[in-house]
Amino acid sequence: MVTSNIKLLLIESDQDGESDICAALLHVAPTQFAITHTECLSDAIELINDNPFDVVLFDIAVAENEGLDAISQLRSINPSLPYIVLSNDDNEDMALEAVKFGAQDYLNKSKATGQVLIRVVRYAIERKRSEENLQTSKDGAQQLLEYADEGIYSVDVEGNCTFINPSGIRMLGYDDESELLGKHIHTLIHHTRTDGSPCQENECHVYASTRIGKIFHVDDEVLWRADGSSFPVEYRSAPTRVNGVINGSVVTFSDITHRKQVESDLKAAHDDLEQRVKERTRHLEKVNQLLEIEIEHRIKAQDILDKEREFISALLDTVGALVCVLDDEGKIVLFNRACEEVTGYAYDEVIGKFVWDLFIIDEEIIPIKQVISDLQSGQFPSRYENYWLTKSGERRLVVWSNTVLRNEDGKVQNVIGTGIDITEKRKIEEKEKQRVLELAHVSRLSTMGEMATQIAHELNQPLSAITTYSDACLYMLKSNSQETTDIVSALNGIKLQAHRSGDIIRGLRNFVKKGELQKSTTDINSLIHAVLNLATSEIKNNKIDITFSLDDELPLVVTERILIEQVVLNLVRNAIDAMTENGSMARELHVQTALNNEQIIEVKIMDTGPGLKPDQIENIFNTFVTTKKNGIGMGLPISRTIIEAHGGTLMAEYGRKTGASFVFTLPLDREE
Amino acid sequence: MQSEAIVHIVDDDKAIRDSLTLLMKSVGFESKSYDSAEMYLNEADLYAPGCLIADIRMRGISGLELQQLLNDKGIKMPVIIITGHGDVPVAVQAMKAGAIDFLEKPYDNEVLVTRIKQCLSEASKSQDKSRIIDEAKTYLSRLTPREREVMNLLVAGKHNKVIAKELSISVRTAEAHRAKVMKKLHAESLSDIVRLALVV
Repeated sequence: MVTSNIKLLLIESDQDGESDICAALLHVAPTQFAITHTECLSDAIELINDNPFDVVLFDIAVAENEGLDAISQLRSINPSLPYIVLSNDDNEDMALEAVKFGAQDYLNKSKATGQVLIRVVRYAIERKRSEENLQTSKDGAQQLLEYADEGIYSVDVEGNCTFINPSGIRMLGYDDESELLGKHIHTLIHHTRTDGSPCQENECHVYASTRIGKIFHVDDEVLWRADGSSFPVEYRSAPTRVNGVINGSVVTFSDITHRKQVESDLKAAHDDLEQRVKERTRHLEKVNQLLEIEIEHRIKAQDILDKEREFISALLDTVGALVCVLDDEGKIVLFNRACEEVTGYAYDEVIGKFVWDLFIIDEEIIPIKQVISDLQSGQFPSRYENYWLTKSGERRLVVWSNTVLRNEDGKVQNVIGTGIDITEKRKIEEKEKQRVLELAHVSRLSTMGEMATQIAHELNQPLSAITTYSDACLYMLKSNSQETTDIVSALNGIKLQAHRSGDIIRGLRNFVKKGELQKSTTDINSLIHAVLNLATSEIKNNKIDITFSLDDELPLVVTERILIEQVVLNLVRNAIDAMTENGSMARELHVQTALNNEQIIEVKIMDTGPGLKPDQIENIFNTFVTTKKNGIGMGLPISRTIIEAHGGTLMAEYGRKTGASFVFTLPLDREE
Repeated sequence: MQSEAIVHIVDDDKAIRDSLTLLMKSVGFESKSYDSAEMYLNEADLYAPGCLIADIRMRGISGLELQQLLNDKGIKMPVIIITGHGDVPVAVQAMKAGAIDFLEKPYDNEVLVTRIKQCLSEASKSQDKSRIIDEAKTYLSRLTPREREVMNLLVAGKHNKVIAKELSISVRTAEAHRAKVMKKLHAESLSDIVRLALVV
């Protein structure tokens, strides 16, 4: 049997009565009680202060005169301690009074039998404990209402406010509950909806709770503050009942401005995100679309490229030109069929080999290597001729046109050489040239034959002078004259005239010389003077005046000098013949040189002879066409051939006033 | 020999002028030279005693034209014409116009000096023309008809080849005739033959 040991304080002054109460308790339940006994009130106060009693039995008689005050005094020490007032018949009224002052019960000592005493004690303890519990629960609820963050109010069936907590008052912007209590709260705080439309009472969930006894949860409405502003609210309304009958509703609400804001922000963020995702998706779709188009194009381009490659490859193998591609070290990377045919090497024999190890003649190997090593400096000849050795050791003359391929950094990667084998062509050209040279030589000899008389006359001048000087010397020596000045002078004259004769003969010999002609840089003006010296006699004997307008700034030009001399002589002699055969009165030979466009030398020889008829202007250059009595018609065709071989032209024109004019040109830069 | 007599040299070739001037000096003749006929006409005393050596071919007025000019002016200046090779027809013209002689380049200076002496000497002026004519006739009479033909063609300035062709004989025969003509006429040059032929 479990027994709680009840700690009991007995305050009783009756000296012999101690035994009555104690004995009664101990008699009924000897182990249930731990009894402390005192007779003095002040001792009791000390004891209560110091010890945790479960119950106090207080004989009102101990209080004497203080009576009820003593009860209050004891209770103030420990309000939760149950007090049972003991009385006797004399002071039962007073004991009753004590109960009003906080005692749990009273007991007439005379009726206090053991069982009754125990029951009273027990009840007192239990009742006190219940009271305490209730109080604690009430205090908790009160505190909950006081300190809750949520606003809480209640309404009666009329809709009037019966309670509102401080949070509710604060949230609604009021100063005191009196402003709301007993008021029809709907018209104060719940009259209008979020969108500005009125909120009717019959639609109000708070009243609906009262009306139909259901709990509503709302978070899309607003409540209105005392100052007329509103805030979004979340509330819960629930009916309240007394004895099962609805007597109103209680509402708990929260200001969800912040939550709404957060929600709105969240939604905005969400929307923004959604928007971005959409945009991103659209962008990706677009990119994807473009990529698909790109892929399609690439496939097409690849297709075209492949076809082009095949085409180029076929082209490279069918063209007659040699196509050879080198890398930046001089190794062969491409070698077309024409190359194979000309060199006798197969593709596989040459690929990857250095070009100079197979094709270049010894004396050109070093220059070619130099060109390749200088490749990056961009000093690559775009056009040149060289010999290529074939597999059988034969030399083929090839004229190359070169291009370089650069990578994206501008570095030279490949050299593409396109060549034409001109070995045969060059042979034919050489033969042709030789033929023209021979013809020109014959023509020169014939010219010299025609000029022999004149030249003999020219030579006679210095020879006559020499014989005369010599005879003068002899006479002077015979006369034993001491005067030597004249003899010296005569001898100097002889020397000078001998040189003059020599010059005439040398000029002649050069003119009729045959064989290898040497290209040389030529001053056209001095060439003209040299030619006119050859023709001096003819000019003088025919009483012809020569005038010049020569461009002193004329640049040098590379020519076969003798051939050009021949042309000038031919034109000058034609002019002389034209003027003398016609018996023209004014005989004027005009020689003019000029530089046209900085690149073409123009030589014009004009006479005052009878001139040319329109049909003669062109056909005079035909072979065997002549205007001369004794001409054979070879001079002008040969002259034209010579000039054309120099890249120039020879034309006949009408003269200045009368007569004819012959013009030939010599370009400074000639494509070989 | 008259000291005031002057040899006038007209030639457009400086070397010829210089050498002739020296030659004249070496044989003791006074001389003056001119590079053109115009210069001679302007500067020389045309009426003073002297003689003229002129090149037949010159720019401007030629030797022949100069001779004609002097004849036209009635100036009795003895003229010796110098010609280039092969200018015989022109020289013959000069002789007909009264030139004392013509000399082909390169000329024999001894002959030249002799001619100048003749021109300048009083003897030449008063030379008995008939005696010369007689002498010439004597020489010419020694020629055969064929040689005479050859001589005429030579005087006309024809070369051996042309002579042979015109006479329908070989060139060698023509050359042989020519040599005989030269010998019979005591001629040393073509000009000697021309002179003889012209005298008659």
